Amino acid sequence: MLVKDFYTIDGKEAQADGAAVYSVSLNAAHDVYKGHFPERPITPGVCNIQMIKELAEDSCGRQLTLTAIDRCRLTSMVTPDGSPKLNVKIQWDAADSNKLAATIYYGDTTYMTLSGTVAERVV
Amino acid sequence: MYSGDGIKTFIPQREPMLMVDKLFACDESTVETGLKVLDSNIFVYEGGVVSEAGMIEHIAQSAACFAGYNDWINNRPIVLGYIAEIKKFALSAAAHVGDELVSSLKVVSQAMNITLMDATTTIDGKVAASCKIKIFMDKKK
Repeated sequence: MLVKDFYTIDGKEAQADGAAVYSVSLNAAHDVYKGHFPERPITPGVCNIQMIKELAEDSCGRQLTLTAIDRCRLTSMVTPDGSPKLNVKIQWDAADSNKLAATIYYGDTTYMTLSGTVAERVV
Repeated sequence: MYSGDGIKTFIPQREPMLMVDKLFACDESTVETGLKVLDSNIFVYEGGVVSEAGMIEHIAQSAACFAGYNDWINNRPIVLGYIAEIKKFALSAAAHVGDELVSSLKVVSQAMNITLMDATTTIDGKVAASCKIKIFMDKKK
């Protein structure tokens, strides 16, 4: 985990379509919330992008760099108090093992959708 | 033209999330910012490479500097801004501890509280990352 203790993985499920769905809990006491923002903790969108990348690494067992993002939409605001639990779905492209689509959601709310390309990370 | 704590005049982010430390230039449609990558930076991997998230956050806070500077110079309050969308992000070179990131952003379109900007980050004049970023400014707060 890059930003240490930013979240914990509570579970992982494989779906029939080959996607992996992770259940995670955000750590509301994390230092990032001291600066984002003082008196109004909002989960930084880039921390959620980083979480997607790390769960993508977990799902395929490779160390990755997210080299390209075709599109990433932040459709609802994530806060450590209002949305402490999230599901993260990682779906690898059937034709290209370096392309993935990811969704962060919980219940009926979608927080983030991302489509991107990865490469093996050497460091 | 502004550096270090001077940046805090224009953006609401604070340590350890601060990812811009220089504002070189800003006008009504462009902004140029910088960041010296320190080893204490929370977006740096073991081994000293800046993460993808760190590169994007630097660009997002550069867009926030653009909005904040233009609010400040027009005597408007500084508001919180959020990333609404990132498109065509490409990471072309790794940034390391000690590198000086220099970012240049240009407004593509502006409507209501949404600003779309074209962003390029360079290290020693070489492109390291680029994207189109849409920022939502929360002006009701």
